[in-house]
Amino acid sequence: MDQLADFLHLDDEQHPAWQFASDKLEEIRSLGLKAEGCYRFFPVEKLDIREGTVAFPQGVLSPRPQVCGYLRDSAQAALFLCTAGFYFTDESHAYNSRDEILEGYIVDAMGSCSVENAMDRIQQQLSREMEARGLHISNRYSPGYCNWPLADQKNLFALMEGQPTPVRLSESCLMAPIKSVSGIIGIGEKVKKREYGCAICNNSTCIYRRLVHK
Amino acid sequence: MSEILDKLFECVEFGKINAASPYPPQLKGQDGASEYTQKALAQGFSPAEIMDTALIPAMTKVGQKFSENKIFVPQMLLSAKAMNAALVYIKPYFSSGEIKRKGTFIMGTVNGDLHDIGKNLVCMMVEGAGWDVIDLGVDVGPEKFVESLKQHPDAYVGMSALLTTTMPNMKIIIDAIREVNPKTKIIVGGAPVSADFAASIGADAYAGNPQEDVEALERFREECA
Repeated sequence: MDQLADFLHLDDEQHPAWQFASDKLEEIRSLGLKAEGCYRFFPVEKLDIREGTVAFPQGVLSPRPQVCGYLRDSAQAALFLCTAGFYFTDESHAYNSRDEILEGYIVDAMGSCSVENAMDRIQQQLSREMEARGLHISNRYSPGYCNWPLADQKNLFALMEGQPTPVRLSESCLMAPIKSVSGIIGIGEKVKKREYGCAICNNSTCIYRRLVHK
Repeated sequence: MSEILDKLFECVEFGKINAASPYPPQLKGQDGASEYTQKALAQGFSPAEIMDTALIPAMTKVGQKFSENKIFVPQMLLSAKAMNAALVYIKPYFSSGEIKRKGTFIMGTVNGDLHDIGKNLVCMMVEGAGWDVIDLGVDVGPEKFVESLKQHPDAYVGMSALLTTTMPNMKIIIDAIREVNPKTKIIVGGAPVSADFAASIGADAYAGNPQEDVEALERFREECA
């Protein structure tokens, strides 16, 4: 609830949004929903920070110089997909269709927190696996952030072809379920985990910057 | 302004829906927007007076507070709920013509994009500012915008995109609208959209938040007056 409250900028436990969120979280926990995610390893053939590209034997991604800089010293990369499923978006739409817009907004925010939490766990698991082999991982980076063009997500999905999650990509690079994330994590002996999110992104108009840093 | 309209203003500003609503604490046990609206009508205030001196100014203040980062989305949405509780008793006067609306605003999220939160906030605030709103939904292509505009030729148009990949669709829609009605005023917004981008595709305004949509519409209305 604390994470959700931060996300929603709620600091008043008496606010109806807090009460609804608290009750809804209990309801959702009882449903036993499970997020699904996976990652796949690729050897890095060439990381061109200046060009902003990372080449694998199976294909090339173009995350642009900023993200490539954060992948410095990666000998391999884990591409990942993770989803909280359709529940949150469907439930949010159901509330909105009944003009319960506050409730719809909160459930949508729950979906965002849910998929990020699930991805945190996947990243931690990856970190443990790699540390056991004496390797370090970078933070995770996603198309659409830090100037990584959203359109490059098509190349990422091509590299992940046959992956086991239900996440699919539309022509406009919108993932279905909407509450999904995709991206890359660098792996190597000298890889460093740097700050992530708004601290390193210069997109001043991004909605998440507004949500997080208002 | 009378005390009862002052109270109604306060209920909408702070999201006091009705007498049973326990929130906000400072208004607990008091009537809410629902009761004060009924009382104001019973006391002879005209629906237009209630709208113009209490409801619209209250939502304008909410929009300003949001744009100044003094409140956030949950607080704004709670105010909208209080506004809607009041509008239950006011809306019948919209259709009777007793309350003159400022105009019609057609709004949609562009094709290829399914995000609706920003669009919904804009629709809510524009309606709260005294406009008729036609919400076309998400994944709306040029045909649907044009069709709606044919039915409401004097309407203003708003469109939203949250993906860089769907931003170019805004230009396609604007071009289609201009073919039908070159004078239609168009506002664009959404996370990746900027004022520069808006100008480059021929939009008449860029709105970075719902209040800026309301302000742009007011400007358009004054220009047309």
